[in-house]
Amino acid sequence: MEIIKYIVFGFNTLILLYFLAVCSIYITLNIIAFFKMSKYNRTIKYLDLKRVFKLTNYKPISVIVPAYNEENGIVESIKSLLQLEYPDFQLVIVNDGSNDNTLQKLFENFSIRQVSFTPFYKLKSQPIRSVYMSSEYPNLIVIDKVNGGKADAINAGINLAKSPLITVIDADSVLERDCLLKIVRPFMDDENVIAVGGTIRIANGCNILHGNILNVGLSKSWLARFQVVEYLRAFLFGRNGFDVLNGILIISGAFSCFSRDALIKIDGYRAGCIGEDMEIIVRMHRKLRRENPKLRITFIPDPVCWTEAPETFKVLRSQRMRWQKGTVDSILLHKNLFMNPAYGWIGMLVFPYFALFEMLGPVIEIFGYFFFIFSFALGFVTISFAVAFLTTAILYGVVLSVLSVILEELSFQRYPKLSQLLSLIAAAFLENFGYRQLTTWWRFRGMVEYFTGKRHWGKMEKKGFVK
Amino acid sequence: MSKLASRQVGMFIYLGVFLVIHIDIFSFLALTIFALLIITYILVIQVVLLRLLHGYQTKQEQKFFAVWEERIFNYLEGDEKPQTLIKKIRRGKYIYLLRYLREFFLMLKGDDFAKLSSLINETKLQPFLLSYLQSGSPRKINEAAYFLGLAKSEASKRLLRKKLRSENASVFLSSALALARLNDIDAVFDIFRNARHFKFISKDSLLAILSEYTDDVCKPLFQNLKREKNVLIQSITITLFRHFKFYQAGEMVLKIMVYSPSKDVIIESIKFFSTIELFEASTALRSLITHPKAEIRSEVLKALAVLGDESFEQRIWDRMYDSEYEVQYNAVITLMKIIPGSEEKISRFAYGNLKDRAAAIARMVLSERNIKN
Amino acid sequence: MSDKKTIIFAEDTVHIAKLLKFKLEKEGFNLIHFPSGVGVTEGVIKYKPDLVMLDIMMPVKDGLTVLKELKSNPSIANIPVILLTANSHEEYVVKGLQLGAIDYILKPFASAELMLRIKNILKMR
Repeated sequence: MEIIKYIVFGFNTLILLYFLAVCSIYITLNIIAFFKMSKYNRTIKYLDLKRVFKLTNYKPISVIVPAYNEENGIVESIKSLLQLEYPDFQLVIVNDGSNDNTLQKLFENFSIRQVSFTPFYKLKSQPIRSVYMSSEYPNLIVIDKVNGGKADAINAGINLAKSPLITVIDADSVLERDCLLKIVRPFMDDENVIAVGGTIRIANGCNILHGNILNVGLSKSWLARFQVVEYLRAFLFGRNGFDVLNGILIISGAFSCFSRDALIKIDGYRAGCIGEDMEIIVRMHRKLRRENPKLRITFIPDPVCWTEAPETFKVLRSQRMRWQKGTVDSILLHKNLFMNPAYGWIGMLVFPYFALFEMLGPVIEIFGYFFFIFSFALGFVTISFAVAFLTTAILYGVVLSVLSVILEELSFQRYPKLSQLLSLIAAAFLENFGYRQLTTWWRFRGMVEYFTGKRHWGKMEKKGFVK
Repeated sequence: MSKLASRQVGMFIYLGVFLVIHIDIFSFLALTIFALLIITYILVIQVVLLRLLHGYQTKQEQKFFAVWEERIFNYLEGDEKPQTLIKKIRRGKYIYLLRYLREFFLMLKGDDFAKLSSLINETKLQPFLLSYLQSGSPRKINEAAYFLGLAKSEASKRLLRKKLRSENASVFLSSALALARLNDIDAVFDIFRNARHFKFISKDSLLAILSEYTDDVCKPLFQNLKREKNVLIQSITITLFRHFKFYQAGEMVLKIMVYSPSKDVIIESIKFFSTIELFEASTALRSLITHPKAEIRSEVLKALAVLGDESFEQRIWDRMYDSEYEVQYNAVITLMKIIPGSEEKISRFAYGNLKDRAAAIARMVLSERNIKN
Repeated sequence: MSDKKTIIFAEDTVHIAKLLKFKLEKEGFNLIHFPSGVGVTEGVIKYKPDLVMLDIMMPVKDGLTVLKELKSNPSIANIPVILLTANSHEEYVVKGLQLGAIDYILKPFASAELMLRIKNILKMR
């Protein structure tokens, strides 16, 4: 009996230490991020971004927009994308074999006509049926191809893109008008940059007109508010912190920018991959940065892209399960980075962090919660241990979430009203009592599904911004 | 507020040390986290207070604008002296005024600009900004340098040059930008020299700053280019020549390009020749058309669209079979531009060889052209 | 109706718009300002101004899009349009003139010059 008690105790302590480690890593990242961000803000304030227009050597950008069954939003999206502020950019819309009227809508609104085409590069993709250009908008190209998934569609777009920089966005991303001016800055500041990610925010509750954010707002749904806090946490300091180590392992597919040469060198996106946006970055580290460690993958902290968050449990669940499958997939595909000193910080620190906390996290946590309840019920744990366990697992999370809201307030202040700030703080507090555990549970289920063979994508239902 | 916070933190550390001696490690852990929670709580209150303060300041700023807007408009219209206008403003509000003026400075020129700049240069605002420039805070220095540069404040030149030697990158960049707006020609070489101390200041960031100069900057750069060995500075200089369309440098840049091993220098030179339409360069381009680097071949073809003539026809046709698509693509476009009647020949080629890659690219160019017309 | 001439001005830099409003109203014109391209066409139909000034780079709806709308509506197509744009966007100017703008002003500009041009155009009509 004594032995069992010791084992249970040891086990519980391990899980406690696990929770402690996660939060402590985040707190450290938070502090790093704070300093980095205040420096960034100081630099950007008096730079007059639009001066880029005066330069003679700005870098042209191709913006690739993969679209699958987007007939409701595509016209609005393209109209607002055409208004982006940038001296030289091309829009490449890839219709990924939609079975609705996406292509028809483009015909009706942009007077596109078929052109003859030859892919410039040989990235793998499903066959392209035809290519269209618009007489009205000379920088608009539409590619119509056989359905092959997002990664496949992006590859087809890269094959026909003419600019040295490639920006990939989702068809339903709402972009800030100066986002291209901001995303090229890292490329201009440092020739070794090969990929840049943007910061994504939640658009629910914002006032959007023709694909432009007019007023930043908060959704009435608490589920959406929790996600706002989650995104703040992930982008503001998750990525800022790792960026210091040149250790960005994931760039959100909703807004990312690459050097075309780098994409071509690694043969583009991996078709059929579940989390293609993470996979491609890991592969860049693995292939390109191994050869030339000077290369940089970085990101910009300004909010440049807004995306709709699911407001129902059902959709959120399938999104989280899909993300978890993507993470697992990317990590397992590149498992030989794990503790591999040849890859420096990435191999020794960042990749193990992702494997241990992002991939296995939900398993350990779910297991931990159950084990704790179980052993508490059997009277195996002391009161002081129970208190310690619950504070670490829950209250430490509260500290973290609230800190991320504070960080946003100190750096960007994108939520104009005091009441919004207060409800964000409330959301940061509340998300730790139920919401976080729920997403952990979904991620756990995603993992189970991954290993039991259901590796398909799951559908994302659109709420749509069109009013 | 922060005093209160630090006192509370101190209290908790004391409490923590006391407790760790008397109780077990788990209670200690729980207490630490509670302490963190309380610190966070204090931070929240602080942030809310900051927000309220910020809101108050914004209101103040708006009130200030409401009152001052018309006075400033009247000043821009009439004969009021800048000193009398500024005298009415309290020193604490100077920074509001400057932020308000920022857009006017960027948008207006001529008489309006002269009036705006004397608002800074002939009043107490100037010593105010100079004192900011001499302070230790990079934030203040950047702010001051920005406005002194905008207003072309001659009196700040000496101090700004000193700030160029700063080890803080943002201070270096902001003072370099100010000097460029002031058109302080001699500072160019200081900018070059000091930029080397920073690892991450790139060619593009320097160019963005240097293009704020007027074209007066070309002459000394021209003199310097004769002796300059640094490839980066060479290519920046040539890019600036292109920006200012400095025709005089054509011949010298041609000489430099012919012997330069640097891809960057060669590409910038070719672009420069095409911008200033230096036909003498076409002989040199003739040999570069088969350069091993595709970027150079491509750039040569683009330049030939301006500088080339019929004698290039065969060489350009050859490039349609290049291994790189960009070169092939540019070859077709250039051919159609400089060889009269070549469109017909190209379309015969394009539709006569359906399996050929060069022909496919030609078809693409033709149909894209068709759409645009 | 007074015989004050009316000008519609779409410009996202509000301070500059206010300055021009101040100057023009002093000279006896009537200026209606829009902070973006949204609603400008409707405004032109409603107020039937004597002149329209459009900034090209504006959020939500840019000046060239508005210009196209104005020129495609026969009831207002003959109202003269001046374009304003940063001096680095000269390629837009050509496009704007092709679309039917009567004149353009490059930013930064001198307000005295702008006033003169406005008066000249209004006198010609």
